[in-house]
Amino acid sequence: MKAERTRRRVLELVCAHLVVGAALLGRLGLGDDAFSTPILTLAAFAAGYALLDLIPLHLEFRRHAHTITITEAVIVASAFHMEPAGVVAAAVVGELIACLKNRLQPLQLTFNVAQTFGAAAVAITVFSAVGPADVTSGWAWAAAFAAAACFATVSMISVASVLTIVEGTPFRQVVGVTSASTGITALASAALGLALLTLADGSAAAPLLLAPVVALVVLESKRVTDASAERLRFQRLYEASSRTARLSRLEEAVTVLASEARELLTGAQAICCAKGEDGSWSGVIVDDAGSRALDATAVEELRSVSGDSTVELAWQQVPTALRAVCARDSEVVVAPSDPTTGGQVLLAVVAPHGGEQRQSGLAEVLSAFAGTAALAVSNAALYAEVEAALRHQIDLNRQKAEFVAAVSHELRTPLASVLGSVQTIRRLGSRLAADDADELLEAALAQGARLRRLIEDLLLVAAAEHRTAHHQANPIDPVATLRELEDQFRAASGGQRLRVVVDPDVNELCTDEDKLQRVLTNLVENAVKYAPDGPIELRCAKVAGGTRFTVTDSGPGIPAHERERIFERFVQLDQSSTRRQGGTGLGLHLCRNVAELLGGSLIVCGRGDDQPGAQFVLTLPTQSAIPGPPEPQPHQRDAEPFPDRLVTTGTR
Amino acid sequence: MTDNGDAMNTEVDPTHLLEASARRPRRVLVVDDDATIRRVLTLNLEAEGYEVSVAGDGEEAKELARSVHPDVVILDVMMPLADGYSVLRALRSSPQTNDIPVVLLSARASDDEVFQGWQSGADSYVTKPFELDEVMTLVDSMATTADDTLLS
Repeated sequence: MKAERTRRRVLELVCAHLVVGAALLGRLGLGDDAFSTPILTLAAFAAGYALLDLIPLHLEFRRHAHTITITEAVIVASAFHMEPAGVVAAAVVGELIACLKNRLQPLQLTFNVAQTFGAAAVAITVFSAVGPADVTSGWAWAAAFAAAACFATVSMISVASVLTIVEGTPFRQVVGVTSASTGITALASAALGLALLTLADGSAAAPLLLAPVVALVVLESKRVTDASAERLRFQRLYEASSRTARLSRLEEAVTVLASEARELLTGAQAICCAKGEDGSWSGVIVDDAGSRALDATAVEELRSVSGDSTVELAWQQVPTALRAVCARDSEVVVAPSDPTTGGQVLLAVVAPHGGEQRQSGLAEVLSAFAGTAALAVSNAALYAEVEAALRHQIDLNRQKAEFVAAVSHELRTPLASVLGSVQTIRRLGSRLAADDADELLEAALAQGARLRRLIEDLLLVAAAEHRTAHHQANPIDPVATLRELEDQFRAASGGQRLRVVVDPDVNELCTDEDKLQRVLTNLVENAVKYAPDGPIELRCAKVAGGTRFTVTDSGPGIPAHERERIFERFVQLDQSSTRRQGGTGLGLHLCRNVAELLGGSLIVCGRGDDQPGAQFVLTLPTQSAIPGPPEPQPHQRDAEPFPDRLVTTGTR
Repeated sequence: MTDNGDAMNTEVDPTHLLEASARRPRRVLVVDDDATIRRVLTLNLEAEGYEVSVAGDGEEAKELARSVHPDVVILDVMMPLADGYSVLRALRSSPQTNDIPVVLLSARASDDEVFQGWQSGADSYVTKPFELDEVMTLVDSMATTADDTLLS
């Protein structure tokens, strides 16, 4: 609706121009000689008009930049040569050509042509009123200026009107801003128009008249161009800053910053170096071919040449490693970010020497951008940190959920056996054969024991993790311990595969026997579970300062990159529901924690004889010298979450 | 249909339906990797007059289900070789076994698991530890329903 109203009002304005123009031309009289001008002259003026219309000049008054055209010169010149109708026709045709060349919208084109028609008619009417004068007469000046001023003024009022209609800009504001440029336009145009005529008449005074005007306009135009280039640069600096404000990865940030710096300074190449989280510097160089890492030497060179301040290096001053990557004979501008605000980024732009007009202020812009870049890089680092923390938390939560599910399963399974057995004995009563009843009771006891051990393991691992578990180091004979273990496993399924080997020189060691048993039991059970076939060897050997227990199986083994992960809490390498074995993923985590509690270590490796299989190596010191936590005071003992009683009554 | 099913169809007179179903020993396949659970279920089911087959893993279960054609399957979820869900899918995809009622028996008790159990086409989902009376009642009702289906 609004667009339609605007359109109608613009068309009304067009009509007003046409009516006024036609009325004025009618008053001047269109006699038989109205179109006596040779068509070539008319075409020449029209072409001149179009040409001047297409070459805008930039001026600045009162802090406003203006773009003007001095088409009035053609009006003035043609007024001395043609009848009023010819003048108007030349202007209209010229304007039409310019509009077509600029590919204006139909409405804009209509308005411009109508406005030219109206303004030209007013100008020629005023010219006729003051003149008709000979070019050489004194009145020629007055007539020329009056015509140019009228044309410019009418144009200004028309443009102000149309701006008020289309953009809603207040009329007075447009007039206020444009009146000065209108005056200049009129003056310059009149002078130029007369100068052209004088020149055509062969007068030598013409160039003299023309020169100062042209010089003034050209100089002013250049000054304004420079100023707007400066504005444009700051605009680009601002845009580049806002584009780089939300980068989330350091490598990405560095690359984007280098590209932005290159764009900003229109360099051939740009480099961005940043200090990483680990304190080391790395850099990226960007050019037409894309981006790639900058070698460390060049990064160091850049850092040492710049120090804390922005420097501009001529080719001779560019250090060698940097020269290797820069285009030959370039100039390099290096800007570090302000060290007081972090000082983490270094930007460098490589511009071909003399390839482009050297612009002043490049170093300042680059220096300013380096500040932005430092912010972007520290943002990226923060973002990465937060993201990693979040991912870790999510991972932990997932692990916990899996752990709860696994523990629930592990607790429910033996409990179901215990309850099922007991319920059966009660349900069936005398219908149950005596052997069957015994079998069920045995099973219930065994499953109950399994349940108890799982609960103890859970408590022990919690205590070991927090280093709150106590251990009592007593001298033990490893041979006896291992024999006991062997007996314990002989009856269990898979236990037949266990072979215990004790080297003859193994001595007594001082450690917590219950906990050692617990670790070894877990390791052997682990081997039984994950290496379903083949022998399992438990070897005990003397090493410097301690005793080493190795459990070797011939199962599938553990890939090297997973070897540390298996000791993490709740980790089971095969997480599919068809995994062969249950378990909570707690056993190995428990083993390592207890081993460390006893002052020893537990690692896993391959078998080392090119056979598949895993080898767990538990090393314990001869004297368990690492003290446990400080002995709690008697009143704290009650508060101990995991009393010794619980953790030392392991299954035998 | 197995030979048995056809035999039932030809031999049973609708008027003697109850008598016939009581006469015929109903078969239950118990699948669990835990020997104690297998034993417990077997003893109880046999005491109720069922004929019981047992399997210790998923693959064995699939084979037995085909060869024995039980009236009800009690199926553990977490087992070696093939888990309960895959056994269930195998049963449902074969025309020979797709009508056998299945009770899933699992120590995995989360809502997700129960939901997945129902979705896989289980007729019932029981979590461990279970009440034996409840399982017996369930098996009984399913075996009867299976008989009806077979005879109708």
